Amino acid sequence: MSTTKQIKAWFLIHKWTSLICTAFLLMLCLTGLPLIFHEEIEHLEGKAPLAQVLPAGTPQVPLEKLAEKARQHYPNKVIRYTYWDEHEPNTTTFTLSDSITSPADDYTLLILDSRTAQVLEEPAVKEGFMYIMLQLHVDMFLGLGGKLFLGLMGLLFFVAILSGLMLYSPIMRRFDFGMIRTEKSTRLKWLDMHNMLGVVTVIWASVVGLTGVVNTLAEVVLGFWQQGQLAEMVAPYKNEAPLTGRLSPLDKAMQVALRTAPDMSPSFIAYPGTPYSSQHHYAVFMKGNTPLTERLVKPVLIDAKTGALTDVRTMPWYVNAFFLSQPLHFGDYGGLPLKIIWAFFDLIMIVILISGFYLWFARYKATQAQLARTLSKRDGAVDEQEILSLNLEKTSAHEA
Amino acid sequence: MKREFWHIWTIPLVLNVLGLIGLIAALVGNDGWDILSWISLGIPLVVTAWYLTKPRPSRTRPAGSTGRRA
Repeated sequence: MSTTKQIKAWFLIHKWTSLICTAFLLMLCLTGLPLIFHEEIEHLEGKAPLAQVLPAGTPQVPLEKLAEKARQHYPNKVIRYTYWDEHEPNTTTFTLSDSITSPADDYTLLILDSRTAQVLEEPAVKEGFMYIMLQLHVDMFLGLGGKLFLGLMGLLFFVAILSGLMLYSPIMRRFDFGMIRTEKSTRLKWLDMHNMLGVVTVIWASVVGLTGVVNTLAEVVLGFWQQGQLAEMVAPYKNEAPLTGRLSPLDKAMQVALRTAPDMSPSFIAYPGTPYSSQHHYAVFMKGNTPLTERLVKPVLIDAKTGALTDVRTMPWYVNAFFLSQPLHFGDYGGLPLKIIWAFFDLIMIVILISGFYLWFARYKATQAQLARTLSKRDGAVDEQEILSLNLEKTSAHEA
Repeated sequence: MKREFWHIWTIPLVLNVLGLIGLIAALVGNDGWDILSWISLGIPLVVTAWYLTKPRPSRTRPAGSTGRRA
């Protein structure tokens, strides 16, 4: 019968995609759990808001002065980025590296009070529990290769979800939602739980899984943008001599950016020569002010020598898609209750993964035993009965 | 056939549509939108918990009769 064949095909797809990705997905769920609450955990570790309370309206120190302070603090390093952490009001953070062309993972953070230019913190970003969790989750300490590999696992996970969904209706044909056969066998009980938990989490797991895959493409997205839009924006500077001497002050770049995008606020500035800018520009990335648009940035390119505006554009769709996919993966866009919901779904995923593996293992053992017993029997008879441990034939026989 | 489809899929479909609404709502706005998202994503969790903790027979009975109660 063709439906039996289809079910068998979906079953095989479900089995193999799951078997390959389960161990990695389990690792991702386990490391992802503390990462959901990274802000709260950092607060628990005793980190009060960094900047002291000063009278409202205390003026800000010019950016260039803050940058000067950062350079004094690290005389042998160069600033590559400046950004504003929305969770730490009144602070400005500088990212410094040994050279402007250093690898992306060579950086030191320096957080300054925007009003006093006081050094507030030099966070140790590459140590501690949360760092290990994050690195395992992102690329298993294996760099770009590890990251893309996890992306592939995410795709397999999505195929496993879809094929699992295809198996749901043949199993549930005779039952009501939420049916769990506790009275027959441990295997059947876990099969029913696996199915119920799986079917109610389809959307959440698909969205978090696929946005996770999108996140693994960060370098790819950046590369496309550099080759495409960024290259177009700075095309007139293609044959210019390298920058020498003093650069135009950061504050001027900021003023131009604020004037160019008056309804937006600064997210970060990339210095000339960094991957997010050209050899000749400050790139001020402006973000929107509504919950939806604050994820979408607009690059304002400013000539680093003259301080004049070169170009401003809206990011291409694939960059916007990348930024919009981040909150949907992190679950950090709806306050603490949303994070708690994320954690519950994550825990359900862990149960689904472990029970799925258990079901495979228990079935494998049972099949081996049955094969040994029925070697002389027709092959087809074993196959049909074994699909999914459905026991449909048996059940209907009992009913009749 | 049609009745069978809805018999199987009504609850999963409702729970997943609620989930989708919840995932999008918190992206759209703050405050009210956040609360909408907590509720609509919370319902699938509560329903799941209810079905998981619901008392079940532990003795052997014909599967059809336990499965049929609503």
